[in-house]
Amino acid sequence: MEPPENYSTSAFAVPFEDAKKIILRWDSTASDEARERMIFDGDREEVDLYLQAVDEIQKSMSSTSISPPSSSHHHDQDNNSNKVNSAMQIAMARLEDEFRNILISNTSPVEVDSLLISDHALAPASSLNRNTSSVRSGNEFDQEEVGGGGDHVDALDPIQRADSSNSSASYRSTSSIREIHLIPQEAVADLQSIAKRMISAGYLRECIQVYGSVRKSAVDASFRRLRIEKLSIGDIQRLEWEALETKIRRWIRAAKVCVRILFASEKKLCEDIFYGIGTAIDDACFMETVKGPAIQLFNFAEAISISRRSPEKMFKILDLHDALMDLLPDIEVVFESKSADSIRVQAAEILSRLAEAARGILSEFENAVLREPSRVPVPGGTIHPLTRYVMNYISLISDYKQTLIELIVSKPSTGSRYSGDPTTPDMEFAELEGKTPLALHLIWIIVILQFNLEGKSKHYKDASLAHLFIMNNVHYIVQKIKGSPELREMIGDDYLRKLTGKFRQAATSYQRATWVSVLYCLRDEGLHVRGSFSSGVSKSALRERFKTFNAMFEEVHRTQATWLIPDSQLREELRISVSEKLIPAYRSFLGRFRSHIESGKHPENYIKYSVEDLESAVLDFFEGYPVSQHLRRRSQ
Amino acid sequence: MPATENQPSFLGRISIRRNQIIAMDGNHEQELEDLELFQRHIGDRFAELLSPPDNQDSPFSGESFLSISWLRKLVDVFLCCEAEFKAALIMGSDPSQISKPPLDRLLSDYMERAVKALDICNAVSGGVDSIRECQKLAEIVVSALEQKPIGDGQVKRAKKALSAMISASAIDDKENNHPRYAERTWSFGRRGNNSGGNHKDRANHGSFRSLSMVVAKNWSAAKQIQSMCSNLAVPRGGESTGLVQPVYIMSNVMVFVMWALVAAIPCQERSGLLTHFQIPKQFGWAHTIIGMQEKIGEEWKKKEKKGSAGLLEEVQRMEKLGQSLIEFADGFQFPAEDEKSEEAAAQVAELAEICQRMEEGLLPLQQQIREVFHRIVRSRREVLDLLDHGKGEESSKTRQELLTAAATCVCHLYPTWAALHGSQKVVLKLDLHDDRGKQKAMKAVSGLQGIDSISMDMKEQKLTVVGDIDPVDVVSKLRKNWHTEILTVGPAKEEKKDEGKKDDGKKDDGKKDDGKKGDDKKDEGKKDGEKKNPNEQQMAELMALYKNYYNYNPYPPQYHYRVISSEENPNACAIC
Repeated sequence: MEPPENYSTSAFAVPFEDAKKIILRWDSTASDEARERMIFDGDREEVDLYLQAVDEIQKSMSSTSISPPSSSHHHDQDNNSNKVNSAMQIAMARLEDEFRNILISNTSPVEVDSLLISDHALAPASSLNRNTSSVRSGNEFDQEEVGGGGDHVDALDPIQRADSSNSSASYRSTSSIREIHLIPQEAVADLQSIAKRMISAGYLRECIQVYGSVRKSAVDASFRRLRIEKLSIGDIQRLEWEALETKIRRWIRAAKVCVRILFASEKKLCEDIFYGIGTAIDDACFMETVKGPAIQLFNFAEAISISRRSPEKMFKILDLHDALMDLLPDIEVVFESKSADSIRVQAAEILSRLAEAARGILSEFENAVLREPSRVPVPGGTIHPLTRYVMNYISLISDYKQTLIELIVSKPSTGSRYSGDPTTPDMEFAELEGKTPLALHLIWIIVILQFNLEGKSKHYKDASLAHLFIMNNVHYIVQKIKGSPELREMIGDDYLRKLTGKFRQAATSYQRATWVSVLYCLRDEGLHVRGSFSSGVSKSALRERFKTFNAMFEEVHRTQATWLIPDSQLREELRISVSEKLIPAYRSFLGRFRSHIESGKHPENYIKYSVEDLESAVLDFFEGYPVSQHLRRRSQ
Repeated sequence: MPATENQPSFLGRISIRRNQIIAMDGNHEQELEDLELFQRHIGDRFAELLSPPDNQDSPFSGESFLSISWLRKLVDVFLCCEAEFKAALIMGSDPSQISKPPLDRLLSDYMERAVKALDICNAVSGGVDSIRECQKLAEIVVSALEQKPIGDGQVKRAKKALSAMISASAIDDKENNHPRYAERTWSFGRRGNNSGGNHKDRANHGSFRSLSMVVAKNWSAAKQIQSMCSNLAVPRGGESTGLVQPVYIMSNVMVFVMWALVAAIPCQERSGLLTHFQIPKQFGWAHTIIGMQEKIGEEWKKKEKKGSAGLLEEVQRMEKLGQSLIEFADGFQFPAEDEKSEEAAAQVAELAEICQRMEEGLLPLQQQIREVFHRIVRSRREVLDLLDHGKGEESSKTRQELLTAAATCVCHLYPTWAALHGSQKVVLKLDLHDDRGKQKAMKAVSGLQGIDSISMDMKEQKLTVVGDIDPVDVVSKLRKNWHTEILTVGPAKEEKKDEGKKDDGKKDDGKKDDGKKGDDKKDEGKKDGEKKNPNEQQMAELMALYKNYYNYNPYPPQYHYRVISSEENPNACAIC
């Protein structure tokens, strides 16, 4: 329904007096009927008639203002123009109300849920609730809001789950702006014909305000459905991180809907209604509608970006960063106008602040790893919780490689700063040429971790256990790196080899620390007695040797059975390595000197164990369980 | 401290000074001097706000107390004080001292306060928006009543806008938790009797309006101010060494500025605002602040009875005009009497002028508040880093280790300063009169590390030093022999005597926001060779936008570390 465009052709035009009558008939302050009914709710003929009447008034108004006031008709003229003015005001007040009414009755809540779920399906305009009865839509509102949205939650949940099960990649969606029709096209045409008249009569400001207040309410309603909360920065600082994580996840989803669908559609609506009427009016209306909501939306991300940095926040902050980064081109498009500068700028600021936060958290994490203060040694020399934590953290970091490589642009702060300080490790960057700063940071974290572990190993009273502890932990680090292709690629084979060498070295050190003294009992030196007749072996010395060996082995067996090597392969390897040294030495020692003992009294007191006994005893090692008080004796 | 010709280098000197502090042999003289200067600057700056320079030709020159431009000056003063405070904190401080009681506690209290101030910034910014709503209504009034002769139609139109304006601005703090957004009302009690649905519909819309406020529903500006004041105790004698006083002073300044903003601009829930904040009278710097507080307090009491949107001068005048125009409209009969319509015309003209002033001032004010927000965030970050750092260095170390640690801290701090600020240009005012003095001064300064150039303007007694330098270092070197005041400190690369230079300051800010990858933005053309990923490029573009955005600000906020002497108008150009 296009309104008659040309005001001047008087073929259809209503004469001035009739026009005035029509206007006055609809003067809402005058009659009950006018108050009760809305013109645009009723007959289209009535609508056309009214619009023509308005045009007529406007025409006569411009003609009265043009004609010069002649002194003789001065009073008449004034009076006349006053009447026209008055009629104009009545008409404009009426149109303003009609405008508001059309806007309100056609504003149905955007079905945010369906938007969330069918993220890729193009929602046709028909998916919108098009009932024009404001009564019903009002009730629906209430139910939705009051009910707290029980099914609301259910509707959200599947995505939530899908999101959390996916990795960061899910936030790098490629979907982009999708406009929907917020208001049916016929209503848009009506609104346009009213807006044209209000604006040409100089009622632009009123028009913008009515438009803004109704649409803002609609946007706010959608915000509620998206469960975008208003939280002060103070609130957010106080909230538990777990609670914030949920909120961040929800925000990311909501922000996408807001920018790509809600705001974009609002913009489209403004363009549709105010198309071809003056300049920048559509933009003014758009900003009037969404400026507040947009600021509210971004305030949350801003508050997160300035919250206290701690390692556990890293990944959600990266999610937030990625989501915002993703949205930025769309924000640029939706808020392209000059008056929306501040919103664009704010989004960019938040993004850079989030990037800064991610950088800060990484260095915070490095500090935390360096300073982790626990001194109580883990029993059995097994993997320290810190090692597990750090390595899992690092693997997660490598999952976010794509983003972090862009964000982490400087090398770790080590080297010159710490040189000469014995309390911090040093790292040679020269041999790590060509690595990304992120990779350097990861390596640096591993260096720091090892440094911290070395410190912790000093708290073991038993040096062997300290070596075993280092071996276990470094081995775990190596396994973790190997387990993640991303991580392995970043750390690089060179450094991996270094680490492998390190735990092998620790294994060797362990063996040396434990077994050198045990095997020392099995040496020949000191047993042969010079000048003696009987085969030159001192029996007492030999007995002493066997006794010492037995005692030492029993002790090692007893203690080291409680030690733990969690990795079965490593455990096996170390046992084999121990056996390879122990068993041949014992076998040959036994072979050489068994006869001497067996020829004496109570040989079983000295030769307690057969080679097989030892072999099976070694199998008890590093299982982490205490063994029965005595070694199984050789079968008698 | 006697002046020696052979000064050790910056690092050496600082670390010696640190060690002395640790050895409880602190250089109190220097500290006291710094403190005194800081206090004096604060006192001076606020004094200027209390009694603006007398060039009031017209009573409403737009510069008067609690006007928009006054508020903008207030915000500027805050930014200056904050910059100076941070400079004192970061440059003149010893990290190990910072992380020890009582400073650690005081600083973390300060940081808490800063976070609260952020919320106030947001709320005030929202308040400015609601003033703009009133402004738009006032514009309708103006455009309706500007026409001549005024007819019934215009009066009706104006009346409608006026009543919306009055109801939007007349907020009773006690009953309404949030300022009402100015909204066009129905011109008649529409369908009040027929359908409950419609009624409900409208009620819904009413309640949604509160959603567009920036802050949470139960948030209260008055309570926020109150909680900012908690823990704000006068430092006891034993504690008031080193940075304790500056932290206390700055806390007060921050609370006061936030308090004044809340009082001037409509904010959510402000009842009892007056009672929450008291500054002890015994301090010299506090006098002017107290003076202003009393003045604002009086205004507040006056207004509280009426229930007002805010003390902002323009808003008050707008309300007053609104009231009398409504009277005019109520008694209007066509044709209007000449006398009445002349009176109304004058009022409309005044209203138009206020609208104009709001149009020009509110947006920049909002931007400045945003700048305060940024600044607080940045400072908080830096201080938190400092605190963390101090803690780390301190843990499980013997005294000897602490000494070396402190030295390395300083080593670490120095590059931070340089990295943060790049090459600096420091302009000082020196009290010297002959060439010998000039030579001596230049010699003293040239002993410092990182100096690029020194120049002395004898006529104006100005010394300009450019280089990777610590301004405090320069000053303390000179102050031994001459009375020295910092006029400006800023990034070295500036177009001289150009408004644009303030934007350079912005550029610097932007760079920092952008973190470490920011360096290549300055000369994008030159460094194109460097690998640049799309994101970085995007960021660069955005930051360029950001800069532009500030270019349009006719009243750009002063940046960082701009320290102004008492003799200067805080709004004057930083260089000339």
